[in-house]
Amino acid sequence: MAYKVTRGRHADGTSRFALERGTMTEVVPVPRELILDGHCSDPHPDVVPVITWLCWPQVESATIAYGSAVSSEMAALLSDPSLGLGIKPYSVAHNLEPRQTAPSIIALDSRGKPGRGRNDGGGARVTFLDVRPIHEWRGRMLSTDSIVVSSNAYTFAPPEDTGSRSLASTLAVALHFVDDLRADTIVAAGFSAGSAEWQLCARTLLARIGIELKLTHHDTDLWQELTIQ
Amino acid sequence: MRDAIRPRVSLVIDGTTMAPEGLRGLLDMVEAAATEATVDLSLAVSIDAADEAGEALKSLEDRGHTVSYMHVACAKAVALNTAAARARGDVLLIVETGTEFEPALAQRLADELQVSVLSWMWLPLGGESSDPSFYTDAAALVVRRDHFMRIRGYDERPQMAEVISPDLRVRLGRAGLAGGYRTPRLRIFTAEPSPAVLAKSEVQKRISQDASIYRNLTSWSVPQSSRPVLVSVAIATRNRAEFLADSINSVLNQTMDDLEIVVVDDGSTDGTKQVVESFDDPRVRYFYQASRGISAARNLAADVSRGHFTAVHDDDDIMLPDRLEVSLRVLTEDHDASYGSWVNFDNESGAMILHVIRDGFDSDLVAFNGQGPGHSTWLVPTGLMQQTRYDETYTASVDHNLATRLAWAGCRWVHSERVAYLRRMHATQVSAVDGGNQKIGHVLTRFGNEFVASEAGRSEMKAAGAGHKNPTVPGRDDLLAAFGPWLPDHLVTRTAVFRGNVSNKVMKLARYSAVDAVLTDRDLGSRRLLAEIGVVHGITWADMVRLRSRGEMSYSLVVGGVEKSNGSSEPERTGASEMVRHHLESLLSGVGQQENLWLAALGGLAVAEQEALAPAQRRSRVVAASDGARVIVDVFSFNVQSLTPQVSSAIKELVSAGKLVVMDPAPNGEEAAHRTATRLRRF
Repeated sequence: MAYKVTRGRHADGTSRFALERGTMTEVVPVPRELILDGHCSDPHPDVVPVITWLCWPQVESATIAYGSAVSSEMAALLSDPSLGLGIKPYSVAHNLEPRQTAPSIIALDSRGKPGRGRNDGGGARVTFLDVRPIHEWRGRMLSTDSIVVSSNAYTFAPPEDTGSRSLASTLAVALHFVDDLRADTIVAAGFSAGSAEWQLCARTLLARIGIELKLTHHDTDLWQELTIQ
Repeated sequence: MRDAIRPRVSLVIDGTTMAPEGLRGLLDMVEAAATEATVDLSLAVSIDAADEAGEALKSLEDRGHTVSYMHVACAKAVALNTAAARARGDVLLIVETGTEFEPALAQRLADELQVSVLSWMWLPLGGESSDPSFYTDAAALVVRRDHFMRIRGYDERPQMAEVISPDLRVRLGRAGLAGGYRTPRLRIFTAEPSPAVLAKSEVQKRISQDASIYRNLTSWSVPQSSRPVLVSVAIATRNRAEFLADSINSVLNQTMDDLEIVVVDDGSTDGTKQVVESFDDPRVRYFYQASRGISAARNLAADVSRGHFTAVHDDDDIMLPDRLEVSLRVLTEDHDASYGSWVNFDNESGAMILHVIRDGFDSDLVAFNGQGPGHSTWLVPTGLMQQTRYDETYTASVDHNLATRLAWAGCRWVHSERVAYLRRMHATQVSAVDGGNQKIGHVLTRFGNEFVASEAGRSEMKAAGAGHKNPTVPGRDDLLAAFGPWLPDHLVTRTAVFRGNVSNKVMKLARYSAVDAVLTDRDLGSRRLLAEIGVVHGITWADMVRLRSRGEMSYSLVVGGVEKSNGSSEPERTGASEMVRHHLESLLSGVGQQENLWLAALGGLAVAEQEALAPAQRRSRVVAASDGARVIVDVFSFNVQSLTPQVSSAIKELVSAGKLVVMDPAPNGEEAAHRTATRLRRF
């Protein structure tokens, strides 16, 4: 085993999603922990490798122990050379139940302002997720249509990308809530979305766990996008 | 995922140990490999081989490639570091001696690799498809040039000579700079014995013995002009012109070079700019802002800093000479930032008080009760400083606030277990003029620590925090001896003791006539200089910086009769008699088993008497001059078991006449040293 994913709860009230190396010749890029304020439910086993890839895309060729066996379908994707991946899960389950989803949307806005009032009947339920930088905010809040949570996700953004929060690490935070919300869609507005190659890989992996990714620009009406659902 | 950036690849080749015919063969291969504009070559060759292959090398240089001519005996790490530093590519393909590769390899690298993702790549040997283990593939590697330079290349210490490649790879990994990217399609062949001849456990042991990341900190073969700034020292200042020069001088006197000083002037009106500009050193950078407060000034410093790390420093404090070196050395794979302890000193009396902050500053913050690492002891990645930033609504306690928020964000702190700086206590410092806000800042920091955790979590953190201790820092038992030499000029008078080529060293001081005492020890037969010691009184901070700028750090400082090494010298006295006495003590303390009879002649012996003792293993004349006094002692050493009757007789005669004194060799430690010292005092 070359890498190991660990998930834990710390006494300070945070949840920590970490990548550890198995041998002294492997490497974990810095930062090595995704921190979220508040405790999180255990994600579906197939969600874990997606969070891992979103946080540490540099680790694209390795054996990784995710803590739980991933499905054989996910294992096949993780080692798909056409996606530029060569990851071998340490443990594979051949009869893993897929995630349970419902018409449920998680909406991310890079400006960090959760919207309200879009759940007034009909269509998919929308939950607005506001990921606050943990160096400015502590804790989390929940309403019927929004979650505010602080995280160090911003530290995963490359320095040259400051000013526009990294979509990858924000998605990694969002994936900590997809099971609780039964989400089948993530709409992200205003993020720097990365290359077409990255988008293809992200959409494919997310689709494998039953999530459709929709990207919009700030000048596109996020609300309109959500209303279409 | 990879961005579509085509890197410029530099082939970096160590050809220093290649025979001329081998070198010519290598050049033929390079010729084929480096035909495209996206590939260039940086080659290290020995001067001897260069003579033989001069035309071919000149042809390479004419085509824009780089050739570094190395001393024949230079270490492989030195050759590769030199060549890598001169390479122009974003990505280095480093090929060690005795390695062959497919001619088109470099071009294929340029075609296939995207630099945004690639950190390093280890090339399988001989086309083997399995993952190469670190001790069998030390023939060639690919690494981003900025990453290679950041961790300061191959370790140049002799004890690492046989493991420089796996060590480099492991250190890149510790820094989080390797991406695990490999391409089995590229082939490279090694013709030299694999490093696997070393036992695996031995290689691992040697690499693991030093868990640090950054090497060659105090001495690196790479020219200063090719080095990236590793540390930005950030100084925020406002109307502290009277103290600022001391503060900057103490940074310029650091044992490591690759730094810059970023001074942000927060609206000073007292000539601060002139003080900064008086330093004729391009590493000192000045920025002015209309008065916006210390937090805004420090944020500006972070924004303009070019170093990978930021070391915080205050405008009225004094950084100890090895502060940056130590702060870097303690960083390992498990730590992102370091902090340490400090010593307060009274700016009028010089009285010193040690402050040791507890170790383990991390997410168990509740245990720290609002305390944070001492600000001017920090070494933090500049990127984290830029992302996290000082809270500009704070006027005091900005450090506690930021340290806490950095820890919340996952920054892993480590205590250096050393004193980092001397903190000047005076009437205008923040704690004296803004103490109320400082205390409130501490309270707020503590509240933030406790806000999120549950009651059980707080108890758990407090229990964990109880395990954090005040580390035992060197120097705590005698602050004057340990830190006195670094107090400001108005508080101490320093004497410098130079060893070795005194004339050359003192010339770097640019005041040769200032030598107050000198000792020479010459072989009585050949007149060869065995040792030279020079003493200069009245050394100032400006003197120390001048010496440092000329590469001179190997002298000792004496303050108040207590000496502190600024390099590697041992304690020293400054009067002529004392100099001689101590020099003889030094000789005796290093005596081997073969020299078990030591004799000294105060005032020296006549030539005939010297000749009678000619079979001596050591036969030298020690001369010391100071304050008009001159002391001469001739020194002889013998192995008693091999004394001839004639020499024994001569010794007895000279001892009986009172011309020779027997000195006790001191291989048995303090007791013998004491006897020797007692006997020497008879002089």
